[in-house]
Amino acid sequence: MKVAITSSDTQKFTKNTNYTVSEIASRSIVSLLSKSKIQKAEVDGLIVSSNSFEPYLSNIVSEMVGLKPKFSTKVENLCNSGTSGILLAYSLIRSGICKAVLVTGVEKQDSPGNKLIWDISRGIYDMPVHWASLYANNHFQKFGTREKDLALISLKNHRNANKNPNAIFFDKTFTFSQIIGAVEVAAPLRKFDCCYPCEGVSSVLLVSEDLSVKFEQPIWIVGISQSNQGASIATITDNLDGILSTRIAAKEAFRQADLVPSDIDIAELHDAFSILEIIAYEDIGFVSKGDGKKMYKKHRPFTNKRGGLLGCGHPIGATGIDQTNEIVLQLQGLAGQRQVANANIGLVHNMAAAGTSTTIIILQK
Amino acid sequence: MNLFDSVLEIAKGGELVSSYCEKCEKYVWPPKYYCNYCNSKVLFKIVKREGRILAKGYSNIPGKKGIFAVGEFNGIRIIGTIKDKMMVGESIIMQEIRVTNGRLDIIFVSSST
Repeated sequence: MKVAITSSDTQKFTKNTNYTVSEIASRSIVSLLSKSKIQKAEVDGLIVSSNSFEPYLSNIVSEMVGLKPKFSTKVENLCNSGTSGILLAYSLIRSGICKAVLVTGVEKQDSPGNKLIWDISRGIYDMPVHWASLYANNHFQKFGTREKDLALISLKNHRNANKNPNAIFFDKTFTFSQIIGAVEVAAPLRKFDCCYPCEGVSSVLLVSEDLSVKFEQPIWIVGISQSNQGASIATITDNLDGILSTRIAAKEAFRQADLVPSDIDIAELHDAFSILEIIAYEDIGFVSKGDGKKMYKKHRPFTNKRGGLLGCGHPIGATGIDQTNEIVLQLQGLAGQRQVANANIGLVHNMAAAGTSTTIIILQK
Repeated sequence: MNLFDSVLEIAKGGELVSSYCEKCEKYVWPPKYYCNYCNSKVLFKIVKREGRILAKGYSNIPGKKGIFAVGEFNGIRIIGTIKDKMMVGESIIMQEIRVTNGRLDIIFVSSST
């Protein structure tokens, strides 16, 4: 049983509003349903991906939008929530339990997922930027990566966001000098090396192969895998030169798809911090370990055309969904100003908490 | 009192404890009730203060300013503040163990000082 993504929706990412998570989620679902050929009665699964504490969230959302699905639940896996929801939806369809599953990622700006309080190992240095800076320092020391390399990632992604009306930094332009000269947060990471937590919502519709015939451009999930290595910074790899969960998940997703990294035309990478995009290039296998800084010289794959987390903002539970939406739109040829030529195969990389969890999805026309 | 609160309470007295499996002779960190390796019940044991630096960084965040490092002590890893000019791989000791704003706040110094 093959599984396709046929329809998607993202609403503009914003700062905090007075809307509740269920109200925000409803807006995107109604928008998707109005654009899609799916009928409400055909939607037999609803998954809401969010770090919100709101109990019974998916059933509240179901009622608000008038769905009565066979299966409904909330999924939370910190920053990796969105693609965890997609993996669950994929499994429901593959197993034959459902035929059409809506996955909606939604988050408020003041989400409880912004910081992992549980991790006692972090001591007083408990912000995500602290562990990210350790990876950056290590990469600088071992592989000669420099601040300039980080700034080029940030510049690229912010410029890409200028073509994405849903991005929080859509109408903000930054120069290389502004980025490399910005205030230092945790050395060597500066302000624009760090993503901005925000409010947002994004949705995708997954359908079974038999139901996909009613849609014009189904995009097939040909590889999907997740790896979880724990939750604390105590579980990270000995030498801090890579993200083990990314390596494992990527290897398995490529095996499922019978593809290799050089087959990927376009990728959405989890650049919560600029250094993470460089490390993702290496751990996914686009370049050799230590060569992430040279990636900008390559013509393929295109990376973070959506604007990445750096340019779009990071509504935690919605990020993985919007990353997936971008690849779907690119493969459907519907990405507007951001459209790249001849995109046939795309990859989504979504991760959480110092790289302790990663999901990789490979999509094909 | 839960596991983490117990660790913090003992840290207020200046000691770091972790779960320890007597069967595997390994520390289990962050603290847990059962061994990650053999599922046996574990005990609390004081962590020896001698370790080494795995990685280090500098935080410029107000209220959290300082040079910090991941230290490894008998196989457990924890982030603390380093006071001296130290290199990755260098031997350190936990000079001071305390609790600040409900978080473990450990000072690492070079073992040669």
